[in-house]
Amino acid sequence: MDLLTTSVTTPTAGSETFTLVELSGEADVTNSEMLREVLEAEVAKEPRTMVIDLSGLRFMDSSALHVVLRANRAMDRQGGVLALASPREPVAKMLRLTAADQLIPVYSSVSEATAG
Amino acid sequence: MTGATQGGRAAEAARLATEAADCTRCPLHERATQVLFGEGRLDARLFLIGEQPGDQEDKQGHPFVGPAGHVLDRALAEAGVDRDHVYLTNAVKHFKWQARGKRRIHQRPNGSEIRACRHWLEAELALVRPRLVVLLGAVAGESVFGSRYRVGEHRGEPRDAAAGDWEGQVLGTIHPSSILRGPDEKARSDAYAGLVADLRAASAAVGSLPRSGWCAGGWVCTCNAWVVRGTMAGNRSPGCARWSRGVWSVQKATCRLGRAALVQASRRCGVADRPATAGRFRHLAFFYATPGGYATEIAEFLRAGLAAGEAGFVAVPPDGMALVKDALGADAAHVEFADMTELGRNPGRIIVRVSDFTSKHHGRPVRYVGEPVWASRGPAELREACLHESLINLAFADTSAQILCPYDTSALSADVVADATRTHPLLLSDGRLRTSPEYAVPFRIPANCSLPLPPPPPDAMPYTYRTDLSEVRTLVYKHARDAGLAAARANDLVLAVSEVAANTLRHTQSTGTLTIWYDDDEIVCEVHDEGVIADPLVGRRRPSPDADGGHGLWLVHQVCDLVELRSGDKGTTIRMHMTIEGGDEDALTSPGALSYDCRANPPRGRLVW
Repeated sequence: MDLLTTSVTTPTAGSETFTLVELSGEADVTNSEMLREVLEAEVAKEPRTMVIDLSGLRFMDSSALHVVLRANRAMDRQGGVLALASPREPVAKMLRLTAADQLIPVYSSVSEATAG
Repeated sequence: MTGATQGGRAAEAARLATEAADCTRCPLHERATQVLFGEGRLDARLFLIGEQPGDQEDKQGHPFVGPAGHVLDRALAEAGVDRDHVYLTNAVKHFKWQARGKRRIHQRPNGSEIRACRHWLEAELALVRPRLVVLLGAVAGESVFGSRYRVGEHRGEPRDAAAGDWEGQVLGTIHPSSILRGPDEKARSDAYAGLVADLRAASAAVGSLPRSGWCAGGWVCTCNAWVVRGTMAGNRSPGCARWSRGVWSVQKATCRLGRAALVQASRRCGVADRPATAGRFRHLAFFYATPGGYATEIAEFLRAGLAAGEAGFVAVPPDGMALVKDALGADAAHVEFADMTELGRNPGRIIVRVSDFTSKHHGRPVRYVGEPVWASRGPAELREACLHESLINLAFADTSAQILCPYDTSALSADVVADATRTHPLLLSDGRLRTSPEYAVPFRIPANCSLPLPPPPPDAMPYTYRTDLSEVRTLVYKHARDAGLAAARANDLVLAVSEVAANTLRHTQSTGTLTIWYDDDEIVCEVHDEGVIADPLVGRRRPSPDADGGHGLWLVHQVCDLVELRSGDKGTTIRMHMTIEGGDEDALTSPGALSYDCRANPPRGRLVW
């Protein structure tokens, strides 16, 4: 089984459709290139809102973080918003220690991320 | 966690950019590719305003990436300002151009276009709230002061200004593109020197800006002839401030870099080469033998600073803190205190804490009392505390910090006291201040904290890895839990080891080895590979959150109780220690060095990351 699996859907919240990327497994330097391709493909579709659901992620390293930060910059540039949802504690701690949570909003659930 | 506070400025910036994307306040939106907002730190103290995006900026979607941007990058580096720590934007957010053949030729925006765009500039200023705004050229000046502004006005001098809800200071200078238009080499070089001088004045006005790197050749630099080899992750302009992004080293050879980077390197190295007694930076070892002498001297040192309007910070063990507070009386309220046994448990975390304190006081001179060395520390901790004391000289050499480090001569061994004379340019004992004859000039890390580490226990088996990082994490987690580490701290160790092992993959072509051992008190994970890390301050300074690298060893230092790093011709060894605390639950196995061969017998422990 792959170390990291990704799934992309476009559910609606209220009246608006958003891109939901669900990650599960472990995101590290060995699969960050794959993650980059997945995120870049979604960013290229210019969604207004993209949420990355981290609830299935057991581990995330700084390589994966850089990919997410890059996607965040791209979303910023095209006027979209990237949000992270439901990281487990080890991942949440990494986001805090790198201050990435100051650049990208982190929510406790996907529904919270898309509310308002 | 809620998004409103977490996302804060980033979310607000994203909202602004979304709104601006549809801007039709002036006709420029009809022909430009995109609205180009500013970029940089949303909490930057320095905010630079240019004119408008150029052809390259318009295509690439980033400010200052064209020819003028390259000039600005060089000038910023030469002025000692890290581009990652400033916010860069333009007075006008759309590219105004005229077709000439296939080329798009820049046209100066007119007054109404500048006024129309001021709305967005004010929003950016209100968001970032900088202390100082640098106006690059006439259009930037016009956007803040109106059409009467002239570039020569108050050039290089900060003055008070306001725009919308923002109040602060502005400083005028030329636009970097005007240098490129200079009629001859002499004119261009004079104009460039003027820009660098103005940027230096701007940097001085906001205090010393945090920097993300240090020239690795700091202790051997004698001339400008340097070459940089190795990886520069991010692959951006070669300024000294950016060299920390990855593994790199500097050696004496023919110059292959732009001149700005060379000047920068030699300037910083020059600072490190001084004995650090002549300038404002002072680093004193204070030898004391009685609690009374300790408290009196420290209180006097801090009071002298308070009287001069300087900020005071004391990080010492709790007993000492109580003594100092007593001696200071009411003055203690004006000094910040921290328990060094927590803050400096891993000495690799102290420098950033002192830098944070310095940054918080916006360039006010700082007095810092730091006692990272005490008698009950173990040998590895003492080695690392000694290394930290040595690195203080590099980290703060070009600041005006005054640092006093108490050493208890009644309890510390003679070796430890001798180390202090090697790591401190100045010594204070019995009320007498003198230059330390043992302090090495040019700066060198003392041998006893840079010698190879003592070998692991003989029965600890190395595990060889390359891309099987998940296996590495499984191993570390299992053994950390077996050793008695609580789940959260086991996960911390997993993150640290995984980051170091990922560096093997990123920076070397070969395998790395992981060795784990533990006893009643601690678990140690050692990673060795063929990579070379030349930056002695690696992981000890806060990387910009948006940086494309530099987070790995920062995380290692943040989560581990002690980190030992040795790097040289034979590769890099990083030893990560976690203390097993009384409170850590469910120790499962008897202590002892651990032997395993994971490939033959993979661990089956349940993972609860």
